Amino acid sequence: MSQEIILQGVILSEVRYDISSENKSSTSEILAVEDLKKYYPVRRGVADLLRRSKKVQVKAIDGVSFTVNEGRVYGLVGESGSGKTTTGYTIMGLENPTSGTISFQGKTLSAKEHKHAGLSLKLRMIFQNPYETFDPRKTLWQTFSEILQVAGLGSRPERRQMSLDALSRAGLRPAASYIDRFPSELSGGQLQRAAIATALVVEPVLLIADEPVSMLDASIRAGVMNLLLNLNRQKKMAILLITHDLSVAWYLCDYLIVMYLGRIAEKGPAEQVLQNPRHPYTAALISASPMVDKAKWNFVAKGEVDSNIDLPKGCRFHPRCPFATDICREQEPAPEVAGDGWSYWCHHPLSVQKLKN
Amino acid sequence: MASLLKVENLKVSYRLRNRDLTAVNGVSFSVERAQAVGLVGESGSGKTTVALAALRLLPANGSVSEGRITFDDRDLITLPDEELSRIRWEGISMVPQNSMSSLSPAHRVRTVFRDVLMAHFSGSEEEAEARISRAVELANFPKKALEFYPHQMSGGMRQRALIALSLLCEPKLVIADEPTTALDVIVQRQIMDEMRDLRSKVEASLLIITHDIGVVSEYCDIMVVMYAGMVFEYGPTKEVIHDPRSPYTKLLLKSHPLLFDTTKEIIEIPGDPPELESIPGGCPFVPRCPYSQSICKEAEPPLTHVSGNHFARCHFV
Repeated sequence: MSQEIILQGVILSEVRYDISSENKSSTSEILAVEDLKKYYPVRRGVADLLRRSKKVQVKAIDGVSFTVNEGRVYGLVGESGSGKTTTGYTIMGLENPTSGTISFQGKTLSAKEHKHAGLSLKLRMIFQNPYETFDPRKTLWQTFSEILQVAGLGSRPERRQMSLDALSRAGLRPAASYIDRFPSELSGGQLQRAAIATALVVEPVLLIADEPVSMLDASIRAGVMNLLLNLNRQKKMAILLITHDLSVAWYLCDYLIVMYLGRIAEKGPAEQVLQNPRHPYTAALISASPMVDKAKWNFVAKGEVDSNIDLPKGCRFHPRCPFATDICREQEPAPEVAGDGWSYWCHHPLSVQKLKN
Repeated sequence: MASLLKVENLKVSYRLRNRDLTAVNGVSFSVERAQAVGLVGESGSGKTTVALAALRLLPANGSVSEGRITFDDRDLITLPDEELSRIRWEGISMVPQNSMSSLSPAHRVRTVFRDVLMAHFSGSEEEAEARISRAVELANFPKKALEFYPHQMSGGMRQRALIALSLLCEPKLVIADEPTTALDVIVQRQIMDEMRDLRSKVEASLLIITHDIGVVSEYCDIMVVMYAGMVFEYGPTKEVIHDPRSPYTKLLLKSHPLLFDTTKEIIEIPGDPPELESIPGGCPFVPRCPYSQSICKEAEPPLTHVSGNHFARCHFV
């Protein structure tokens, strides 16, 4: 049995390398996010209104653009307040963007388009806390059946079979012993697998996974990560993984999009970005990860994430950045190209040499 | 000199409606002076229950059914209440996990500090002020924030307030229950580094309770791996990480994602953590263990000596 487990790991990693060595332009673009903005009004008291003080807004996402290609895994990484989850929600249509466009398979998505049932078949999302994904009063079967009914798929027996297949593919075997259970009768890891199964039952083109493993116990995390990789490999399903954990991103992602206070700090091929980051914020995230080589990665950012209401002028990272100079305090950095599909927004980009000193 | 904290064959059970649930089943370990010990395990492994038992803070339905916990040679389980309340804060203090619910939302941070000193410190007003200054400085908590209410502070700042609070009465042992789990990664790193530096400034031992092997491997001298209420491995952290001997520790380390791991292999542990109601006889890890033999189902494996101070629980160490 131990051999089986180890083999599974090896096979997965081999296939991963096959995929990443393919010509990058060989898959087609399925999602394009263009200059996306999402501002939330801050509720103000009577005193503010009387004083006619300026309208205050939280700029959760403030001009984010990226594309997602078929069958690839993208990591949206950053700390809280970076806007990574809001980006995911806006793509799903759970939030309406303040401005900017989202195109999915060539079609620009409007609020109306998002409600269209056809879309919910191709674009699905799973959440951090699987206990909040399910209605506690419904069995898994009732939840699955509802999803399929809304999607207009299958007769009742067909729906049952599709649900059983999805559960089984998500690793809940034998599926028949799980399908009639209530969420409270499953462990956290089992329920997260069931949540992934609800996304799979319709075989989406893109799965948005918001911190899918961060609530799970250490020993179960690996299983769910392998499951996501398997689905990506077998079904050519693209995944947008929202995570704060770079070690999870290292295993799963082909591309990384590093966000800070509503903007992209750096984006590019995952291995290159992680091994040779250009943005000091990327380096700070790497240095904060457990068990990295402390001699090389000793870059600790100062303080905490600033507020999304009083955004720092110039580069948003400058109050925490040890390389910040006058230009960083005044002028927002423009995008620079570091390599194929790799860009960063920084006035004083890093090289590995700089990190060592 | 005797150990600072000694836990011997501790058994704790919770009384449920119609039966007893054993959450901690014969746990022994010790914390020496000026040592950092990490108690690592998944949810349900009993790690928090051990800490609660040591401070006698078990919920009403929980009780120590067997074993001893001694602190500075005093038995914490039988100690009269007045003496125990002296040991809390002054001997052992605790940094809780959730900083928002651990500080009073209706009081300034300074008030909380003063309350603790009022109960545990008999010095003059100036001396009390000096203690507060020293504690906040050690914890890197900005002094002006003492006038803040909890909602005016970030998560990192609240956690620093709690660390300062735990140092206020100069305890010999600080128990930190998942001290940084709720924080952002960069702040997590800052606070853990500060806690490590603290140990060279104050002579306090540290017992960190966590699910995160990364934290233990970087900040603890000794690690204690718990599973299903038992110690599965115990030893110097470096030795356990490089040469784990119980299959559970082995697989846990292999399943832990590691940034820059060149093999990019994630090895999963099959199955789920045990439910305490239905732990099978024999070794509780049997249902998930790839190496199990027939003896594992029949007999509970002993905690076996590996070398030096390194022990592992398995029939095939």
